[in-house]
Amino acid sequence: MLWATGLALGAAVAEPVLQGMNPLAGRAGTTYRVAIAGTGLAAIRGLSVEEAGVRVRLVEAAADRLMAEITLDTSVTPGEKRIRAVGPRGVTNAVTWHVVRETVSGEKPELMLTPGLVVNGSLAEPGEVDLYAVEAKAGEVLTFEVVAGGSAFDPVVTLQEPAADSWFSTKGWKRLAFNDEELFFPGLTTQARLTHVVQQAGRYRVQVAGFAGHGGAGASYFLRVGSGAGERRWRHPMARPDWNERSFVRQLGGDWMGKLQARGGVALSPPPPVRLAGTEAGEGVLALPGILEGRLSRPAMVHKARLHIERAMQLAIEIETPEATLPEFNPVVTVFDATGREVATNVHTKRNNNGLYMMKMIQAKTTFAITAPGDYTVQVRDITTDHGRPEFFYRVLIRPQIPHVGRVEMPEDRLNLAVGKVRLVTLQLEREEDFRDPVMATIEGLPPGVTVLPGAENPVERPPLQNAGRIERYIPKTTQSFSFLLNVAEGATLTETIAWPRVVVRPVKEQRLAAPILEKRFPLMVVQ
Amino acid sequence: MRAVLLLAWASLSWGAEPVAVRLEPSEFHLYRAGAAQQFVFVAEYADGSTRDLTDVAQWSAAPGVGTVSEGGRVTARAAGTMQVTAKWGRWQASAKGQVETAAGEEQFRFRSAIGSILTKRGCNSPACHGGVKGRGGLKLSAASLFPRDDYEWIVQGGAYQVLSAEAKGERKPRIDRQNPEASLLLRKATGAVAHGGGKRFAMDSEEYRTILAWVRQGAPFGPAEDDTSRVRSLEVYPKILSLEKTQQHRLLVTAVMANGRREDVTAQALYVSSDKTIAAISEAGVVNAAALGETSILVRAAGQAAAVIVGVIGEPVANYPSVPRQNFIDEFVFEKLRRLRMVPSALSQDAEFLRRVCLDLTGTLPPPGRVEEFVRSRDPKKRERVIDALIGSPEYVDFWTFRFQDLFRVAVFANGINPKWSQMYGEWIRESIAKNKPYDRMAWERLTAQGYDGPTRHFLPYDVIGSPEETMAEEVRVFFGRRLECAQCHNHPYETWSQDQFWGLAAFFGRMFKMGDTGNEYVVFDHPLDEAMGNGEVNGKIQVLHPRTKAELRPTLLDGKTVMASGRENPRKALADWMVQHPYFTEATVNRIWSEFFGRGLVEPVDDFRSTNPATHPELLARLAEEFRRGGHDLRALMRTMVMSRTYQLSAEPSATNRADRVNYSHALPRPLLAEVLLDAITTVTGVEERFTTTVTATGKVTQRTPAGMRAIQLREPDLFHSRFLDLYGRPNRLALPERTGKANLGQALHMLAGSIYNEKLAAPEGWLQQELKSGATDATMLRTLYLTALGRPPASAESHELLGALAARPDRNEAWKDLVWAILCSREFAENH
Repeated sequence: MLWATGLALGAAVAEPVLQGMNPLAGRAGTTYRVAIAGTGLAAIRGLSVEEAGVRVRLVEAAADRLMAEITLDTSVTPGEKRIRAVGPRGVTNAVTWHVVRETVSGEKPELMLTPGLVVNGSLAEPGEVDLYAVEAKAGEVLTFEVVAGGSAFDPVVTLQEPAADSWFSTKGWKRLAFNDEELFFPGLTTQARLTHVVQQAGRYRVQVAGFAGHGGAGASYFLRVGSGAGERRWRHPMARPDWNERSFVRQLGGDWMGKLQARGGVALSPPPPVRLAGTEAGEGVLALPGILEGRLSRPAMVHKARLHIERAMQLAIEIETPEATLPEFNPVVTVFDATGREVATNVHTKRNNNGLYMMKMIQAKTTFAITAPGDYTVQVRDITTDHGRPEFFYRVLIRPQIPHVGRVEMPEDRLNLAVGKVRLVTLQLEREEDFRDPVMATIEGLPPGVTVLPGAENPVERPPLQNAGRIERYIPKTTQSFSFLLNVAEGATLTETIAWPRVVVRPVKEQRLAAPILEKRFPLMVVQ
Repeated sequence: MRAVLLLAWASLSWGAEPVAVRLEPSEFHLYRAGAAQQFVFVAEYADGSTRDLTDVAQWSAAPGVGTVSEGGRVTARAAGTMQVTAKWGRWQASAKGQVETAAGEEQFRFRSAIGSILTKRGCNSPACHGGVKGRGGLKLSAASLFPRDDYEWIVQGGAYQVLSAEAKGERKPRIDRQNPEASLLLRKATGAVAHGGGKRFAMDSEEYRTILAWVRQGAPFGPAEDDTSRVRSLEVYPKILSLEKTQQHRLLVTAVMANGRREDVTAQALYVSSDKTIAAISEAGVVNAAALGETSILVRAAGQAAAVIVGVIGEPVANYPSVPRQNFIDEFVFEKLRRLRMVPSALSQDAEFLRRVCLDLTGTLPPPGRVEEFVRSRDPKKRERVIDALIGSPEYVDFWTFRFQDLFRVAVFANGINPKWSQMYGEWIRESIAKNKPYDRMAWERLTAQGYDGPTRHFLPYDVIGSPEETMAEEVRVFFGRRLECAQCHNHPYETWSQDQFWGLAAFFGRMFKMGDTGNEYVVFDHPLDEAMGNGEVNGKIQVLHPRTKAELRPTLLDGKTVMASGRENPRKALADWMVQHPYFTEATVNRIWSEFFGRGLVEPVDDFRSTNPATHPELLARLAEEFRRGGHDLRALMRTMVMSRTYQLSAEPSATNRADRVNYSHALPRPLLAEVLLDAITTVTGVEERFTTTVTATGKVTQRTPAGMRAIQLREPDLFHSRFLDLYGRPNRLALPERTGKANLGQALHMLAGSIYNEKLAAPEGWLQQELKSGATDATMLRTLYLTALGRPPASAESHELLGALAARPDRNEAWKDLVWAILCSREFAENH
């Protein structure tokens, strides 16, 4: 039976997959040719870019490579774009490419780099390096930014200078500055970026390589040379466009509480938040709901504010780090009662698997209960005692709990549905702060012959792990799954182009369907 | 006895008259009537040698205050000043002393009265009751380090337990106050009842009488030892002793109290020779030279240990040459050689020096052009200039980054199982070396690291925060050159490190935590003591417990000072402040760097400093450490000092007097090249680059490989960059502190015969050999280039003649040349630094 299953799986036709595009960057207002590496591409018949002002024409398709021509209007917005390919086996994954404003050049040995230039390159073989030249003046600040085409390729950039001080050979080059990425941390880019203040005028060399010698198909990149240090966004992840309730970089100011209420079934009209400018001395008075802000500009600095609670209630603490963030700034927020006992903290502590060691994680949100009225102290500090900088700016929101629907996720990037078959699609939904009302979810805009059938709701309760600490303080107590069955009729028409149905999720609020909190379009094709 | 000594003395071939005599100690202080002081009467000779005249001298002392024995032992009788004089022929020397008889000084003290007997008779030696668990149910501290504990085990009885402070079993005293003669302590030691350790003393001995009198008096402990009266260290005179065969020399052992008071314990000390065939030692502390060689004498007394180096020297060297000195290193080394009657080898030839210094400072062979240029140069300062050029070169940065990445254990598995983290850590080391960061700063940064900085990654072996005890033990070994691990489970059996000291030091690392959950985001911090941070939810506490007493430990320095860091401070800062200023730090550092240039440390192994493993040149070690400290812990300056010395620049060719020497730096000792350096050298000679794969798929496809031109010494992590060759030649995986033995093995031999490194590179079309053959270069030209590249010297005319003839005789020139290059690469001259 297993053998038969294996045969069946082996006989299944794999979906086409894209790996990377080369050249990776194109200048707005130009037409140029690209090669797109991948697998199962022989029958590809078209390409798709969902971007105004971009036209893509497939020139040639081979099993492992597509040749295409891209035309960019001058009006195209610079930035990251995505491209998919379409064929009889369906739609591919998307690979990223870039539109830039700068002059674009192809890779050439010892190509002279100048600020404002973008160079497209690729490392076709493991261990390959690309070398460029740059002339610089003393005191000039140069930034070299290497952007990779896919997440699997991690580029490294090195600035070299002539090894004039080498007794062994003055013809060689030596490493002057090196940076893989400014900061390696989950959520931050692994693109390489190096800023260097040139001490001595002269000719330098820039080397682009792959981390630990990576190279091969998909290892394409573009190198951008800039003047000046540029932004710090490289050390600061951007909040994603979807719902980021547990990210230290979402914005807690403005209408954050309004957004929470929009996702919930309970109308709560709190007074506008009171903002306290957290002083270095720290003492302030915080009302509910309230926002505490401050800068831990020196190591070991501790900020404190008084919090007066008039009745027992369920509260939530949310923390934002708008400037420096994890892992450089790791804010610990703790609420103490009048006796100094810890009432709440954003540090989730649990035991490791064998129960021997405590493990700690700081969280951007925590919930807790105040059982007795009185004065409490809110304390903010960095988790280390030796780190503190003016960029260690925090914003802490303390508020009553607002029941609402949190993150809703659909893992699939694309769906290729076979005629006559059923495909299961599952959404993951998080209920926040004891949200108990129903939630509606459906898929709209399906092509003819494809129907969505109601899914069964999966169990919602999961027992906490042993030694897990009070995890429910930090993550939703209930994570819920929605299951849909997409059924393709036997006589359904094959799709020639990508259909873009959408998943829609609406909470129920005061016994009415509220506005959608998720409308996610996804590519879908019906294939043989 | 005296007649025998006189005969032995008279039989020595001392032709020369002394140039001076002196008495050791030259001053003395006795604090009670009955206290004694041993003297040594020493004659000094023109060749730097000394003779012990103690037993042949005539002794006298001012009457009334004290008396002096024939063997130079003074015993105090009454308060006052006294002068002791020793006379031999027309030579005499005196020492002045003071005797006090202050109240309280006469009191009985368990340590000095009973503990010294237990030490002298070997009862508390590590092999007997001083072992980890004691012996036969009786546990004593080594050399009576903890007299209060010893007292309780003897007086109260009971068996020691490693994991508990409770005594095991019923407690039966080992003395009998009602019937003192029946005390087990006496009956066992005299062999009256069965005793695994045999008879230790007789019933009519002084030891027996002392212990019996003590029991009869009720077995008191005497006044408690306070911090000032505790013995701090043991000093032995002389520290280094050179004797001719059959010659004798008395040792003088002095206990130094914490309050500065000095007490002669020569008679109470236990002496053990490391090699009796070279030098034996009597119970009284008299060394007897037996055969040529060098050994050490271990001395234990008053809870402490010390060692003396004894060199048994050969015949005097006629017309001992005046050897030039380049710097203070030479003063210490050459002075000892002179005393040992060894003549340093000649200064190395220019080519020999150049290859050696290039490999030692940069791990790189000198290019042929540079060799010829250097040899041709008439510049008297050319060695100094090339040293400066090498220290300022990028190759220096690469090489010393590699060496410290070894020591500091840069490896994927040692640094959180994340190559990005080992890169962060490795880059911190590289930057420190490139900027010549003061080494105390580098150590401080590593010891105190918090947050997400590069050095924090070394606290995350296998992706977890290392245990406090293991982390501490490694830091102490790296920065103090000492191994405290034994004291983790029990008081160190051979040293004075106690279990309390071990755990007190470990407590500095006891609050370390990692923040993070995914395995990619760990931030290192020290848990505050005044905040729970969620501990209550999992019933957790932040504390380090003593494994035996279960008491909560506070961070405590080795000197016993408890650091009262507030609950929020990083306690490791106080530790780092203390460590980098401690003499251990500088002496361990200079010793480690010394070993890189001389093939062995002044203390060897370099991370095994202990009183029983003395430095070969203690004064040199102290001076180097002092210079290093005064120079701002400048590694480059330290290395420069070492390689500028004539000692470093001596030839590897031994002389008749120093051929057997392995420890006194009389000539350069050939050292196997480190695996990475050897591989780079082969690459240089063959002209065929080595590429290291990092990732190979299940189908054998290489997806990651080091860039062309990357040298083996530039590889950061041994567990990321695969190389069969490097592993065979001793590249450590850095999962523990690396120990490169350099020992040859069968795998290396097989690799030479059939391995790709030694064979494929010779056949590679792009390589030096095939290119030269293709170009039509003559054998003579190629031979010269090969010698200059591989060996750093041109071939000698005899070598040229023989090899060119052999090449011409072979029908296949390509095969002949491949054989020749292979032979050179496999030769010791190539594979060693000499």
